[in-house]
Amino acid sequence: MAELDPIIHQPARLRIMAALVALAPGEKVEFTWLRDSLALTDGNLGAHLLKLEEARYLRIEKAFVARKPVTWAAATSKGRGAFEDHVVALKAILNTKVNRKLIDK
Amino acid sequence: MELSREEAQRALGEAQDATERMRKTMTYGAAGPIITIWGVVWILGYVVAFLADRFTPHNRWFDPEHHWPIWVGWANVAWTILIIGGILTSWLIGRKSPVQSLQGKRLGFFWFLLFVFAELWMVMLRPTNPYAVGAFIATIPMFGYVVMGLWMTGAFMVWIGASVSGAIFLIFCLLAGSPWMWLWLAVFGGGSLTASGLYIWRKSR
Repeated sequence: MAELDPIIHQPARLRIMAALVALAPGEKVEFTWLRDSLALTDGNLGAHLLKLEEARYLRIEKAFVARKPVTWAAATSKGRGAFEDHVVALKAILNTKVNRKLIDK
Repeated sequence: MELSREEAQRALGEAQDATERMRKTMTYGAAGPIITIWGVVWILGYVVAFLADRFTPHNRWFDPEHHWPIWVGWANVAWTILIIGGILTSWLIGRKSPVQSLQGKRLGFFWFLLFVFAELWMVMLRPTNPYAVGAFIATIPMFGYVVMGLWMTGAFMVWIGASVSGAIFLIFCLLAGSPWMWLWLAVFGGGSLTASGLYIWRKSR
């Protein structure tokens, strides 16, 4: 049975992973889009990305576009699997609690 | 790790929101500004065609074979400059897009191929009726809208593409041969591109 992932469990990291898994493998999103879309600060987002990168749930790429440094993030296959398991575990909690209520009635 | 039903539900809702926002950016992303740019290109191109048609003598020829009057030549020069500017700007916008997805690249390639297809047939067929060419070219992006709508964005773009194509056809039937046709094409062709581009731009934020 799938279990809650302690790394993805944190709300900001859950939203980061949810956004990244919407992309197909090999596709990536810019740091600034994640920051603005998820309403996080630079430092906050950077710290969460680092944590996810350390767990190998995402890959960070840095490049220069029009002479400006750009940071990209993309989910790895390990990250996708972990996110899917986490969502399954969340849904299982919902179902279990609903079943428990029905049994109690 | 213990989680209540409410916490689990909230977490799933937040994840769903983040996924939806990403999908919306992937679908509309750079499309809004690019379509707006092309709307402006269209308006300028047709306004130049109107001015050239109305204020340049029709008995002077642009090419030795007398295929094109000189006003058509001036309009073609303006269109060529505008289209090159539009392609370069679209490329720059696509390059700066925050989401680098295969879908975005496919979409860009589809539009590029569509215009290459239309241009190649123009070169092959060498049409001599500038009004027919102008109306035909205006329906090309509308055809693209219908395909995009069927493919990914939904009924909104299908309706815009189909209704503007109908309006262009009507304008051609009623006004072919008159310089005023160009101004109407600027309004319906360029205007609809600009308005829908701005709408998509706003929606993607």
